Amino acid sequence: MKKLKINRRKFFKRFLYSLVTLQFVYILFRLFKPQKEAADIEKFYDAGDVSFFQKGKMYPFGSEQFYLHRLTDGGFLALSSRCTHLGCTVQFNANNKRLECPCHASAFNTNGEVLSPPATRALDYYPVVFKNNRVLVDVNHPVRRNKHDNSQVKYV
Amino acid sequence: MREPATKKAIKKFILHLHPLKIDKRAIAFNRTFGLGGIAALLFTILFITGMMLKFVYIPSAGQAHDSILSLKNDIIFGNLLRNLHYWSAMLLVVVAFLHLVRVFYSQSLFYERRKNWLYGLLLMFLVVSANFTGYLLPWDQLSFWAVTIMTNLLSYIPLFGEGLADLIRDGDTVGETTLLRFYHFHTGLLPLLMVFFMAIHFWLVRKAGGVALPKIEKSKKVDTHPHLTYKEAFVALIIIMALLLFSIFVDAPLLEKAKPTVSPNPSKAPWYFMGFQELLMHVHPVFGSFIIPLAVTVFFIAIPFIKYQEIEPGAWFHSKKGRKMTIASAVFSAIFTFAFAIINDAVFDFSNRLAEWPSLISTGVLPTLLYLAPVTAFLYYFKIKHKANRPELMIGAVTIILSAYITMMLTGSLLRGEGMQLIF
Repeated sequence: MKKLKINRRKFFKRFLYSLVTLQFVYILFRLFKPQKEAADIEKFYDAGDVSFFQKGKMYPFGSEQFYLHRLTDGGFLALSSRCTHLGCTVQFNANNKRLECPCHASAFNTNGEVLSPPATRALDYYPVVFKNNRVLVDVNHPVRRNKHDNSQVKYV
Repeated sequence: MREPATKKAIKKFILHLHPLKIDKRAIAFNRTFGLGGIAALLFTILFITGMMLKFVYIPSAGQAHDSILSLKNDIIFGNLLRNLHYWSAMLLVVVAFLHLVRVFYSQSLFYERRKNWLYGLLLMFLVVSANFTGYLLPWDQLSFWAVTIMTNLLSYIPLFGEGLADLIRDGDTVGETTLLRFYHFHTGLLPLLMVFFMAIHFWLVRKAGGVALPKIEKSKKVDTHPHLTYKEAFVALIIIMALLLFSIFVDAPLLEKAKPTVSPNPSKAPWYFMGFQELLMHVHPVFGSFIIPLAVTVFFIAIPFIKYQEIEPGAWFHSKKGRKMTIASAVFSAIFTFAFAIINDAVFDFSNRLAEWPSLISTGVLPTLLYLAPVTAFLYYFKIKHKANRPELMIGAVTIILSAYITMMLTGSLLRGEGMQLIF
């Protein structure tokens, strides 16, 4: 190995090159970085009237890729239909009352909790708000979670 | 007198790639099998067919699939053009891999060739990336879900995996912007990088004095033109003919238009990533997507930089013992890996049996160690019993890795049906 010799001129040269490279990398990174939109109630998905949803039932919204679950106590939970294992779309099996992934056989209950692996995380959920007695779902901002807990359920 | 002038021009151009005179042993077909040259030829075919496809293809979720249908149905030789591009791309992955294997087993990666081994690995990565980004472009059910699966595999990398996957996809799902992104990677950035690194790769081959050959006292040299050039032209013609014929009779797959709401059953990553997906089915994601691939990559980078007492650049398998070890390791690894995958699921079943342990240990550390123990014992046996030296052991280790990946790839692609269950 040659001995590394750095004088002032070399140091500044390398320093400037590194700075320029870093800037370039940063610009590229910002170019590729996905744009995150702020939550905007205008862009929420209007799922329908609160009174329309019966207690203890699942309502599929295929085009928006979520299931709206009205719990037996009247709470609302909007579950993403993206499997947390590798991103396939889960289907609701009404007979077994569970969401099943066709790709690798993961299964989730109606609250999105894992019933059988390989998935390890509960299904993502979307924030729900109520306005003029209508259910609005923020479909642009899925929320990651490891486990289901009751604070994720929204009540009118 | 036009012909001599053309001939002279060709000769002069070729001499930028090759020396004037060349060792007779270097141009024997079974020295390199022409794999590097075939890879370069395939790149050229892909470049030309790709340029033509660009005139028809529309990179938007709404129109991509339709533009390919119209290419197939309305444009003369459109289907052939697409098939040619598709099959050349698939062949390129295979040929580039075989080239890497050839270079390793003929021990052509030491001393002055070290740096070129690294550029070769980088080019291999670029070839796979280019293939993978092209995979999405037809925007059919096959490509959409393969890319969904693959980008989600990336998100299991600890700490930065999620961010990396979002950066590649431009968001948390595969969509319109992902297509645009992949299109520009595929048709702009990646080919540009490949041309750049290929130039360096070729130049470093010449700088190292061409193909690595075992030392002998007197080597016989022949003129490059026509001895090598005619051989090259002959191989190129055969490859082009074979590809054309294959593309005439076998269509590249195209399923129905991508439907983000319906996942096909089963959904699989592209075939060359299936070993990776299979691995993830057995071990903890942190191991399957990060630690094991990282370890293998570091190992491959390190091969020519490790200290050896005796290296024989250009000697196939280092020695007769090395050849025997290669065969033994390949068979051992194929059987052992397959058996381990089944035993791990059926007998050990750590994820259920040791449910109260942290999953990183029960499904990560434990299976990895259980896999590595017999492999180490196997190599140790060769070291003690057959007195294998370090290059030979290295050949054994690399063979075990390659054979294990191929076994997992074949298991995942061919033996898994609905719900990714084994079919037999």
